Amino acid sequence: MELFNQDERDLIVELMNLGVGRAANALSQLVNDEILLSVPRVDFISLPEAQAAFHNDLPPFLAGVLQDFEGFINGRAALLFPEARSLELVNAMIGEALSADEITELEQETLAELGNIVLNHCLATLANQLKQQVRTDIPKAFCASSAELPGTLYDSSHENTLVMLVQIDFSLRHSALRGYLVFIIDLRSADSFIAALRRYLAELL
Amino acid sequence: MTTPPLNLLLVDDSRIARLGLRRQLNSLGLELNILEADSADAAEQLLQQQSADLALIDFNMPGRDGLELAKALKIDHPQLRMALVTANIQDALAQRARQLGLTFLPKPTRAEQLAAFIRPEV
Repeated sequence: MELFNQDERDLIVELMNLGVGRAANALSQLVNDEILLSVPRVDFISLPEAQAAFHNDLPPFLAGVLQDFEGFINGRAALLFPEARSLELVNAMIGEALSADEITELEQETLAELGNIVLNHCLATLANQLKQQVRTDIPKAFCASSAELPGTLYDSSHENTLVMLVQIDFSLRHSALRGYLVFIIDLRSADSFIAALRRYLAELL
Repeated sequence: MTTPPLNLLLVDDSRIARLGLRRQLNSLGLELNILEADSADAAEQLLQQQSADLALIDFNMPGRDGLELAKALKIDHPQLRMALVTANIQDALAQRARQLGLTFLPKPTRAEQLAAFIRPEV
């Protein structure tokens, strides 16, 4: 049986669209450039399917930021970039007047702050729209191969974990760069998530 | 009459966030003496040695969060004007900040919002 019905799926896509839009606005301010966004693609998949998707869709080496969250939904969010391109983002954010060595030194911290802003905008927009609250943990930057990613994102012993894979394409005006957002949702919190979606839909319909 | 420089304290565990804020503050052309702390504890220790007029406080920090720090500072430094600076733009958090008398500034901050916080009379 599907966990979310079609209306609920549509609502999640719409809310993620709103959240990603706000995150893009924040990102645009940070890199001082226009951000072009695709419509987010949202898939609800099992852990093995997620592993296959990571293998098929992601570049072999990734730089990213993890942030745990809990509240009406519990889980872990990640913002991922191709590792080879992450320095471009860092350079766009803080590159002015810094040497290449300094930029490299600050890469992890810059990515953590970038992830903090993007992931919080998405999660907070979701919570605000559903009139719920969610607490976010301190962001952690990491680098991993796509094969190592599942072990970084979730504990494979949690067989019931549902993966909400949100894929967005975005580009800066001067540098095409694909980014990925991944939300790993603990199924034990899905009931409160579904209830919040249904309340929102009941008011809407 | 010239306006005396204001002491402004930045509290954020992220060096990048502090760097960005410092740059933005410097671009405002205001007379500011900027102090930095990377945690709630470090902020309190700093304020035992130096006074500040204003504080820009991150919410999500290891140890005590920005609201917990603000509550403590309101008692020990009642003259200090504070703003919570955060990417966590949830309405509930903004409301809690305002109830404490804090200005709520979403990250990334905008120069005009910072200027209005620092010099509300202008």
